[in-house]
Amino acid sequence: MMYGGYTGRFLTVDLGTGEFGELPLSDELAENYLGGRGFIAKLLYDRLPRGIDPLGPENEIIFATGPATGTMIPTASRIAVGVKSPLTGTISASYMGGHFGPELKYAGWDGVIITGVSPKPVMLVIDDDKVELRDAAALWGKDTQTAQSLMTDELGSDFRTGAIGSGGENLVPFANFLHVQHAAGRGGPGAVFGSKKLKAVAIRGTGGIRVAPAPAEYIAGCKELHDIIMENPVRPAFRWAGTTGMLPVVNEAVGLPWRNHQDDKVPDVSSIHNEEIAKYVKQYEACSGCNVICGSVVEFERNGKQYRSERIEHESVWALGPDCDILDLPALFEANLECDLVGIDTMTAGSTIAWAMEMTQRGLLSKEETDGLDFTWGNADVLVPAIRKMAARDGFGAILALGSRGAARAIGRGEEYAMQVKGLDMAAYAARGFTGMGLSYATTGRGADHNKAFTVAAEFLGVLGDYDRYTMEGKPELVKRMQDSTAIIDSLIMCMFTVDLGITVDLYARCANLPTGMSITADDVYTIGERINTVERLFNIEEGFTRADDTLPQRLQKEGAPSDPGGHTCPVDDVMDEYYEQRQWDADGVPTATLLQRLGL
Amino acid sequence: MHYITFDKEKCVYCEMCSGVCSLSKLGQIKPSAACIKIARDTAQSFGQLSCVVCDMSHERACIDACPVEALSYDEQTGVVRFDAGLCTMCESCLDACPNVGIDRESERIMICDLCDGDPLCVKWCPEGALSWEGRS
Repeated sequence: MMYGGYTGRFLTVDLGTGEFGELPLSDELAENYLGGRGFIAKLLYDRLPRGIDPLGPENEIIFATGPATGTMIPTASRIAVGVKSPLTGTISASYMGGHFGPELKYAGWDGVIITGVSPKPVMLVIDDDKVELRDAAALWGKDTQTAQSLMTDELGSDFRTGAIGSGGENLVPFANFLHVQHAAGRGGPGAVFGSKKLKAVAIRGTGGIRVAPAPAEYIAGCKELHDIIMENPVRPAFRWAGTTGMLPVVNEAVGLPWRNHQDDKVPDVSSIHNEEIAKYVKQYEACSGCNVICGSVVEFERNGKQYRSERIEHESVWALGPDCDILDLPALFEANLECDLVGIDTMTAGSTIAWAMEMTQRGLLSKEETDGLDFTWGNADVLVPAIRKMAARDGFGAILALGSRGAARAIGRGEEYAMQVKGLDMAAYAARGFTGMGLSYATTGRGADHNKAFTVAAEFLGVLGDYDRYTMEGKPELVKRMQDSTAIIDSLIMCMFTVDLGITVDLYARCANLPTGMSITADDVYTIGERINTVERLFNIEEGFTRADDTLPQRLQKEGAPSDPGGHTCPVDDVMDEYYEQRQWDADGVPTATLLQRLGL
Repeated sequence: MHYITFDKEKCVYCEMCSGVCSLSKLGQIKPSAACIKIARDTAQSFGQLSCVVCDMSHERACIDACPVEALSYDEQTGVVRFDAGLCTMCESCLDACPNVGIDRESERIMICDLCDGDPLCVKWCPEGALSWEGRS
């Protein structure tokens, strides 16, 4: 590996045989795919046979860092976890912050490729070059936080830890993997861990990362980037409220889905306003090398019990809250923590409960079918029992554990109320209020993901231009461009917040060049991003996905939100041809030969 | 005489101090070998943070422990200096003081030297948890 920032090798782990190995990282892979999500796209596309069962032995788990990870580039703490998703059947990469990604780099590895199935529960321990699989019988069955605490007791406090909970063990297709309470996240990687009997991963890295320039030059270059963020006028809001600052603003703008997207405005969000959330904050927490510092720890009480937890995030407070018309903050904190303990995605969990509530509202779901659980709008007391039943796949929980679309298909009704794309439930930005988000939900590889082209920045926050929120005009180009630039953020890997904090595309190029010594331009950023999106598309096409999957629920395409006097809709089907043209995909959504040639595929 | 002070209420565990220190001293980003490290009490969730760095108390436990004068006190700047040429890597200094670090790769004892009067860790701390104070 001729470039700085990388360690130059992936660790390979065969859980079936217990063998470890090394996969050297080629210069070419780094140049064409950069890292993180790019590596995952290329590796999974090349390595996985087509049509495999995501929970079968042939699926792989790929941890991937990027060249910026752990190198003092601002916010570059993140690590990607890639799998063929058991929820969607698409390729999927999930991300988490904290200290796990940098630690893997310090241990000397750009990533880890995990194959096979272990005969019994194991924990993977990476102690620099010393790698071992330890028996995890004592961890199996433990919640994510208890498991990590036991790992620290066994290994020592200088190991970074991550684990799945009962959700992953029980193969819930939206189970996640948590490092402390940082979750990777959506798309169900935790279930793939569970299918492989891999309960946990611990890392200690005592080595270093070399960067291309001399230290003084590198430090000065990083300081410039840090100062751009520190001096950005939006930074104090992130510092104080984290992601939760967006909620009241978006709601006021009729952009926050309510009651399973039946409307896009909550009548009164005062009880879950970020100022209310802030009252519970005890301390602030940063990820490694981050000066945004959006994290914090809350302490709260519910039903006489005291809790201490990471502060709830915007998407979680929305999915478990307004989407279910639940506006009881301690109940949302408790449900959020419960999701983290059992290790399931808060967003899919919340959205699936919201689906059950709409089904109940419409008389399509009876209490007999739900094991007596009361899915009436606003019933805060149903959250924790429903989450536990999902993670345990117990009774009606086994239905809910399929996600909203899977649940509808299992009971044979209500798929029109499943607010999802490709099986991944939608997020807290109303498609009808931000049509770019709608088009992004419809076209992103793994379904309704809000972080693959966060067009709200351009349609509402005024950060990336001044687009009309409601019209579809110009959105195919905007979404395509942002999907491509975001692929680079996900590959470096930096945090999405940097988009809102003054890091422009030419600066992402600088973030790539500074540690590596590459000379990537802003144009190259888009080209690499396009390549990554195209390879992900090829993966999905070969898995049988078609144009019919690139759509939104009809409710959002046909009916306006009652609170929107303009009655706007998000008719993504009408602009799909234009989006495909932008992408150089044919009318069926298949990448053209011209495109593949241009990208060297 | 100057030393680094740490405000545990302000620290957010970003570990930028360790990153920039190691890069400056060792030419690579290597927090585990930095002269300054942040430790977390893992007995509680999101437990108390503490800072491991030379407190310049100059009880000179590290110097006294060194059998070969590889460590010496610099009267002019008030910091402990390390001479790699004399060091035998006996690691007696590590046993003598918890604030002494080591980079085994380069066989170097790591003790804060205040970056010759302009500590990078203080400059890089985004929350002002680290400061640089005089002490009479």
